[in-house]
Amino acid sequence: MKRGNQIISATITSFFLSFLSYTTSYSAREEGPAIHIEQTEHTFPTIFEGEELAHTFTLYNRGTADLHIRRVTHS
Amino acid sequence: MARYVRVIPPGGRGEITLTIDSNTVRGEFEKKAVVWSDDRSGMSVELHLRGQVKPHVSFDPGGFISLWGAKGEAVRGRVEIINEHETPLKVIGVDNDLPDRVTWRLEEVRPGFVYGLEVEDISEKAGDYTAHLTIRTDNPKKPRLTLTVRGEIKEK
Repeated sequence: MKRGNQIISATITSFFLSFLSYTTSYSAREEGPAIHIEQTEHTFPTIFEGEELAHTFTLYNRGTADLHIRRVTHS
Repeated sequence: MARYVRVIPPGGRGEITLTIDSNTVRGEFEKKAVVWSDDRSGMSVELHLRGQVKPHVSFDPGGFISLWGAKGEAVRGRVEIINEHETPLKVIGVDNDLPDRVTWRLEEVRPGFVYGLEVEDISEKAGDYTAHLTIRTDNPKKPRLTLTVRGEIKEK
């Protein structure tokens, strides 16, 4: 009888821990778009006036919904 | 100026191209752009561009000469014209828009690379004036440079 109680107790504890783990991982998984840019800085080689200065940055969406770029401001 | 994709799907990638007009910057520069999106954290992302823009030809110490003195005195100023390229530069000519006030003399300091331009007041009357000397060169990207001459000539 005592061994039976131990088995039941262990089963309940295991089930509770599994449930806790599931709910924790579920709540940590955020929804929505997530912007990621690996390289945010660029240094041009020295140039003469009038020559072109242009650089392309690559960005990624590591989220779960469309990422909308609202605007890009510069100064 | 910035060109960029408006929408990036989950797991996708996009590009932002930033362009700077190099005619509007001189020397070392740093520009910043900020990307505003509907990212779930609500954070904006800063992008930084750095570099250096050299002029084709420059004046040393600058493109301005001040001639200040009394009529009849030898009032002079001098600048150097510096070729920033590794290939020689030829000065084809100098145009003066106020020949009754100033005269000029050009000399080669380091042929093809450094010229000295001396400007002298020759006013026959007192008064203030602004003259412009236009230096014409054989560099197709910089065929003209303008030196401003400000004169303040008093009676003796």
